[in-house]
Amino acid sequence: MLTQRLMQQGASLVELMISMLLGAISITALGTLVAHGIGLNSQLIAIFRFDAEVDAVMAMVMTDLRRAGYRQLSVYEPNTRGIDQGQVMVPDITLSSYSSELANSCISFAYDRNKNGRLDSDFGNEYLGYRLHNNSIEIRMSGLACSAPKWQDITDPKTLSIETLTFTKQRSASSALFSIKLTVHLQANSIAYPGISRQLTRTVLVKNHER
Amino acid sequence: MSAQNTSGLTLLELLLVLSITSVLLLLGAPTYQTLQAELQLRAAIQVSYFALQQARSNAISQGQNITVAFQDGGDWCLGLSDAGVCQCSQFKNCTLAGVEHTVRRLDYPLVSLENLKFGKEKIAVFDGIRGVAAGHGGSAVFAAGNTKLRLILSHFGRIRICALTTDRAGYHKC
Repeated sequence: MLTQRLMQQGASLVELMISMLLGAISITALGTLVAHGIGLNSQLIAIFRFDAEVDAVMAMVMTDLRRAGYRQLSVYEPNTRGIDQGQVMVPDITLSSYSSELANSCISFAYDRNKNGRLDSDFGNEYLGYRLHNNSIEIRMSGLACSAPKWQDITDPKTLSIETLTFTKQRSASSALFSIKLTVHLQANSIAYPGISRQLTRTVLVKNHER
Repeated sequence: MSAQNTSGLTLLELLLVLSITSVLLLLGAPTYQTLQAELQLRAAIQVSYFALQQARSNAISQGQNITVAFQDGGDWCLGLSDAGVCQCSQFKNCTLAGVEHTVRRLDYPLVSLENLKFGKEKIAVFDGIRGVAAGHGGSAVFAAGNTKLRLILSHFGRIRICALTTDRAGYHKC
């Protein structure tokens, strides 16, 4: 009789349901944890993308500004390629802004990118610049003025919103020449996570001096 | 009362529970597969995005042209090179300062690369002066299942990701 009772013992349906419920709760908890991990990963990736974009655009602007005024001089044929010696090494950096944007949020300059001794204004225009417009940083096209439309944006308005972009120019005399320091202040907000923002202030010494 | 305590689970009840569990698993499996494919797709396009950003940053910081070589098809890949055009499908052929930099399908088997629009040579070049990709702008579509995401490189070096048909996987519609 005792043997028979033992063989008959097992989990009842209620016990089974309870154990399944506990299992389901555990799986749900684990699932929530995984979902949280995926969400956190997405957030981190969005922040990395935001940082990468801000850093890349800042690096691009700063290296470009450092070259302002550069012109290649050929020692062998100085007068045959239209080189105006009087204008050599003049950065000619101008600050202004596009209509209703912040003051000094547009910078224009030029340098001899292809090292042909001239500042080209046709294909591969060498009159360059950057400005703030519609919460994006734009790059100057075809030597257009700061007040002109149709510059090309170089930041993704769906990833970041540029709140501030200002340029400051410092001129300090050293003998007959003036050395130029340019300070760029940038503040950007993430679109996906509006609470995340970055402020950068970088200063660059322009390699060419002004007269 | 005693009979109730000693009664166990019948075979019928056990089969019922097992069949319900199987049905639930069968219903959940496709969703899991879709989720897995979407996660791989997001990972593949994000890694490719950061590879392009690295190419851009390297071009500016090293002052030299950086080439990104693409290969589409069943064995898709992309690779970064500081020595001109390279073959990303070959081991250690695409390198930056001697270190291999490639993104391969091997790590994302559920993802395919299609609609590659980076010219005949299938390359993008970031110039070493300004870090722009003048003349090398283009796009590529990463797909997994019904989800398709496009990676876009502008001539000015701006890199974007967008979804092809509708807002998907955390990206806005192109």
